[in-house]
Amino acid sequence: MVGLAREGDAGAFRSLYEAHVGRVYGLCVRLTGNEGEAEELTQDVFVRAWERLSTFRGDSAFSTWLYRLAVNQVLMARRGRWRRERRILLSSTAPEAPAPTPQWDNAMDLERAIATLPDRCRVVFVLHDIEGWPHADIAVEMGTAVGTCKAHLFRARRLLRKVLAP
Amino acid sequence: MNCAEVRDHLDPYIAGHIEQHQRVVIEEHLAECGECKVDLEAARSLRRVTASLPRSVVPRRSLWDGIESRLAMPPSRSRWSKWVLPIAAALATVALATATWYESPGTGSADAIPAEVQRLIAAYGEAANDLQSALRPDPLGGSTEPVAFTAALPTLETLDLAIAESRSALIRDPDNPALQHLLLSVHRKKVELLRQVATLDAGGEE
Amino acid sequence: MRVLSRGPLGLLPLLLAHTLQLSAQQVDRRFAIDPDASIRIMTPAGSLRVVGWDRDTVQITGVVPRASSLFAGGSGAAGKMGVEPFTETADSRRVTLEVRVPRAARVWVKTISAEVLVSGLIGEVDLVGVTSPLTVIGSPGVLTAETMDGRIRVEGTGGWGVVRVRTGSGPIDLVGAEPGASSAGGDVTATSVGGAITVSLDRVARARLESVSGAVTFRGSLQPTGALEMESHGGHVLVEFRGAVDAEFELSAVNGRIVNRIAKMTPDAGLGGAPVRFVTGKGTGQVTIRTFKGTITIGN
Repeated sequence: MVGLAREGDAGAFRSLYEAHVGRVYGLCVRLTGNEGEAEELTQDVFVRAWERLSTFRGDSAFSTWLYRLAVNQVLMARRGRWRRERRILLSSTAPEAPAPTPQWDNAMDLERAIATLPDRCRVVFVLHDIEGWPHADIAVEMGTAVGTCKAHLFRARRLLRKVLAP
Repeated sequence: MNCAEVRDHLDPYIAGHIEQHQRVVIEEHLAECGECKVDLEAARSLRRVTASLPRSVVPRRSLWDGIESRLAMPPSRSRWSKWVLPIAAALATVALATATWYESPGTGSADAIPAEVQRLIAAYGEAANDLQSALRPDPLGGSTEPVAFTAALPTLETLDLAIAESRSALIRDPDNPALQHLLLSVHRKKVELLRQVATLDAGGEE
Repeated sequence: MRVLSRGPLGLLPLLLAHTLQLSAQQVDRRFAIDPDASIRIMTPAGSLRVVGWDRDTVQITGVVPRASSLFAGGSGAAGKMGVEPFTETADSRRVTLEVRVPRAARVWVKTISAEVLVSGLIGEVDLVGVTSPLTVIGSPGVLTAETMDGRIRVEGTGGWGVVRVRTGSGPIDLVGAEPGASSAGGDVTATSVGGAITVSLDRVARARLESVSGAVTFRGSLQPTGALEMESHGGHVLVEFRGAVDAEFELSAVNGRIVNRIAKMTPDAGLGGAPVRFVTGKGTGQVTIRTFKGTITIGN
C-alpha cells in the first residue's frame, strides 16, 4: 500500500489515510488541546506525509514514521508560540481547573484536564504517559534537555492528580 | 519522611521503581496519613485512566477533502519515469524474499541453526536491504535508465530461488555445514550482485 | 560519361557512401605515455579492442558516429579516453575503437554493451560491463572482469596471474595454454549466478569456481599444494584431472549424487549431504566441492 502510494496512487494514499487518521488526529487533539487546531494539523500532517513519502525508507513501520511526522508537525506549529510565551506556570493550580467531580474514572474528565495543562507539560504527558515515548526521544523532539522533560512530566501528573482529587 | 517527600516519590512507588528501604518508609507513612493516602489513590487512578484512554480519536468531521485538494501534485509522476513501477515491484519481491528469512521468528529448527550462521545471514540481509534502498530511483536526480538493474533482474530471481531452497533444506538439517556454507554463499552472491548493480547504475566515471 | 550511363540509380551507392562518411568520423589520435601508466577507457557500446604494444604511446583509431564524440588525452602516468554520451544508442553501437597501449599499462575499461577484446597486456586489467561480452587474450598480471549479462572468456598464453571474473547470467570460459605447457596456473576466482563456468588450466595454485545455477567444470591439474574449490547450488560439477592428483578431497552433494572415478567410495557415502572425504597420492593439495542439487563427477 505504501509502495503504491509512493508511485503517486492517490487511492492507495487514501487507504493509508483511513487507516491512520484516528491515531494522527488523536495525537494532534491531545497535544494541542484544541479540536479545530487539531483538525487543521491533521490535514497538514497527511499532506506533508504525501510530499515526503519518497523519504520513507521502510526500515520502520509506516505508522511509526507517520506518527513521528505528526508530532514534529504539531511541535513545529507551536514552537513559535512557545518562544513568545513569557509566563511560566509555577503555581500548582491549573489556569482553568474544571470543577472536581467525584467520578475520577471518567476518561472525558481526564481528557478535559489534559487539555488545560500548560503546553509543555501537556506535550510531555501525552508523549510519555499516553504514547509511551522514552524521555530521550521527547527531549529531542522538543529541543530541550531530558531533565527538563522529566520536570514537565512531574508537574503534569501533579496537576492532573490535583484536579482529579477531591 | 514528610508528606511532601512522600508525594514526590508516589509515581516511582506505584511504578515499582524505588528501593526496598524507601518503600518501607513510604508505606509506614501512608498507613497513618489520610491525605497522602488520597493522593496515592489519585495517582493510581490517573495511571489507570490514562492507560485506558483510546489512542485513536475519530475527528468530528471528515478531513479527507481538505487533504485531497492539496495533493494536486503527486510526488512521483512529475519526476519518475516509466520504469519505476517494474523496479519497485522487483525490489519489493527481492525485499520480501530477504525479509521472509531475516525476520522469521524462531520457527522450530530455524533456531537450531548455529548462532554464527544466523548472525552472518542477518548481516547479509542488512547489507542487501541497504543496497536495495540505494537502488531505489532518485526522484530528484537523473532519470537515466537503470541498465544494470534491468539486466540483473533474472539473476536476482535465480538467487532468490536458490536462497529459498537452501533455507528450507537448512531448517530441516540445521547442523549441516555444507548446507550452511551453500546458503551463506548464495546470500553473499546476492549482496555482491546488488553492489555491482549499484556501482554500475550510479553512472559517471567511477 | 560512365557515371551518366549508369542512370540516376547508379549514383545512389555513391551518395550513400558519402552520407555514411559524413555521419561518422574516422579517429586517429595518439599521445605519449609512461610504460606503466593508468589508462581509463569509457565507451558505452559498439566494439573496443585494447592491444598491448612495445611503444610508450597510446594510439586510438576507429570510427565514431557524429552523434557521439570522442575525447582522449593524457601524459605521464595517466591517460583517459571515452565516447560521449555514455549511453547505449543506435549511434553509440556503431562505435568501433582500437586502442594500443604500452604492454605494462594498467587498463581500466567501463562499458555498457561494447564487445571488448583485450590482448597483449601484462599489467593490470580491469573490465566492467553490463551486457558486454569480454574477451582477454594473454596473461595480465592482475585481471578483473565483470559483466552482468555478458560472457567472459580468458585465453591465457603464458603464466596466469591473479584472475577475478564475475558474471550474472553469462558463461565464463577460462582456458590456459596447451596442456603440458610449463606455465603456472595462477590464482583464479570465477563467480556466476546462472552462467556455466568452464575452466581448463594446468598447475593451478588456487582456483575458486562458484555458480548458483550454472554448471561448473574443471579440467586440468593442481600444483602440488594447490587448492581447488568448486560450488554450485543447482548446477552439475565436473572435474577431470589430467594425470594423477595428490590431494585431500571433501565432496558434499546435499541433494545430488556423487560419481567418484578416482577413489573408491562406499555405496551410501555422501547420503543427505554428509561430506565424503578421501585422500589421493600424497594428499598435498586440497579439493573441496559442494553442490545442493547438482551431481558431482570426478575423474581423470
